[in-house]
Amino acid sequence: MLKVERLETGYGKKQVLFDIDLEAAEGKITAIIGPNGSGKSTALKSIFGLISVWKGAVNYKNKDITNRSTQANVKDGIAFVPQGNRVFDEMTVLENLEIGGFHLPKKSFQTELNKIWELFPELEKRKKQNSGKLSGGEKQMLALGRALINSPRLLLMDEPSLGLSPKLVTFIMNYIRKINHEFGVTVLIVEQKVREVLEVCHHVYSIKLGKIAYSGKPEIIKDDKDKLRELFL
Amino acid sequence: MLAQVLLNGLIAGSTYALIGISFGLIYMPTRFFHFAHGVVYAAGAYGTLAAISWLNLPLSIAVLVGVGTSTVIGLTIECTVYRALRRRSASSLVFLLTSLGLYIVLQNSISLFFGDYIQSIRIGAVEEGIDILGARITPAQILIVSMSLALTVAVTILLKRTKMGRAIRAVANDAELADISGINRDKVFFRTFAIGSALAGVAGILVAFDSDFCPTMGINALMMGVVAVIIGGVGSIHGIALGALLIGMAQQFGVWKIGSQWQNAIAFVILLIFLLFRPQGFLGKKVKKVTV
Ligand SMILES: Nc1ncnc2c1ncn2[C@@H]1O[C@H](COP(=O)(O)OP(=O)(O)OP(=O)(O)O)[C@@H](O)[C@H]1O
Ligand SMILES: [Mg+2]
Repeated sequence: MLKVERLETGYGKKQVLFDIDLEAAEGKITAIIGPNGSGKSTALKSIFGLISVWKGAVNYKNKDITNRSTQANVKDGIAFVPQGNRVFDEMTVLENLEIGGFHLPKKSFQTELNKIWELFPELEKRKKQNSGKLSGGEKQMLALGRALINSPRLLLMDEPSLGLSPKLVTFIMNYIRKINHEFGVTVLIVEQKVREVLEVCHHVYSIKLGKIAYSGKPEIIKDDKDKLRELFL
Repeated sequence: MLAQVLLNGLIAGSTYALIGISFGLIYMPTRFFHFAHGVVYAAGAYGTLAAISWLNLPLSIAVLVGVGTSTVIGLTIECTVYRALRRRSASSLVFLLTSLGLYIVLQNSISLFFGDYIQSIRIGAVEEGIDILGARITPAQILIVSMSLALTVAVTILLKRTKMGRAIRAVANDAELADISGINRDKVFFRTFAIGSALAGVAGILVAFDSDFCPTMGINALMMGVVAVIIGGVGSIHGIALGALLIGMAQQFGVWKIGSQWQNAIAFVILLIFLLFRPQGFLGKKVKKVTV
């Protein structure tokens, strides 16, 4: 579904990612783990076209989408949930979803909206409320809803569990599994809650100092404490 | 006397509200000081003047020419200069200086075409005005007050109830998240510049109906508009209208009690008080910064 080849990028003159090869297989959950500042968010941002790719290629559905605009990516079924429960905090819950589904015709927007209310009933109860006043967990649901309303085929998520209580982390992970399983959405997720994400993903990459340090099945490293420590040091 | 002072305050406040709202609408999503907006405002008056005195067009058509001139100038600046600066991720200082430069060049162009002397546009015969509770108001002034009210309501509805308005607010709230959501930022800017510039043109024309004007008319109006935006709070159309009214009233009371040379000083004293004690304005939210 998504194939990244020899990707290099950074900010200004500073290179952050070197020679990144990774793949997100169709219908599967792929995870990226790694220490703080290793370049995980940068990888997602460059795939989605928020920052430009210096070298290498991003392929999606067998098409080259390197440095394509975010609008084109959204219209082509890619959605991105950035790090840090980002919502439009001066707008209502409903307005956030309306922005998410900006390009949908009125009728299909209503259908998609009903699906979101069904998935997150708490949000419907607060639809007229200013989203800045939501709790961290609710914001994350809204951020997910904003992305899902376009019925994406590929969902890029950056640390959806950040700042959530352990109970909510499990809750969000279950949602991700559900979105993947029931709607067949391919997921590429960056996560620091390693134990939890290794439970739900089918394949895992580790990025360390801007390079791929590990690629393989989650089962192999799940119980290998030494290997995990090595990936994070 | 008091009735006349209040009425004059309302009239002054209404003109500040018009220019303030037009400036504030553009500032909301773009977040830089569009200095050249002052010339866009003056272009409304001069476009109308040219249509009347050079082309002999009837007033109603001339007004459309004036609004059109403002809109075209505003959009041209956005599509050529500002868009190019954005592509280069220019800093806000670069934006400010460029905009100031544009203002100067364009104001000088007006001087070149029309001369520096004072002009006026008369609508109908010079009238005595209408009496309200012992205060006098002319038809042009009634037009200013009612248009200002109507446009405040219209812009509020635009922002709150329409799809375009929602997109403008989304970019204003978090531009990067708007990009991520697939909102086309250039399109949003294009539309805000179109509406904001047309509104500035309307403001310039209305003021020209009421009083004499010269090529520098834009700078003072823009300053008052900006003060209204800061007092009112960025993003709040009602707040801007209220802020404009406050400055207008305070100035007219000042003219009455201490003399007309203090008008600008009064506006900036109010600005200073707000900056010190309530920087987010009447109704605005606290400004914050976000990055991914
Ligand atoms: N906008 C930016 N401008 C300049 N440098 C940046 C920017 N964003 C990130 N960086 C730098 O790029 C490197 C990688 O950052 P990135 O955000 O991709 O890390 P990360 O793996 O997502 O970390 P975390 O787990 O803390 O989110 C860091 O050294 C960071 O300081
Ligand atoms: Mg990150």
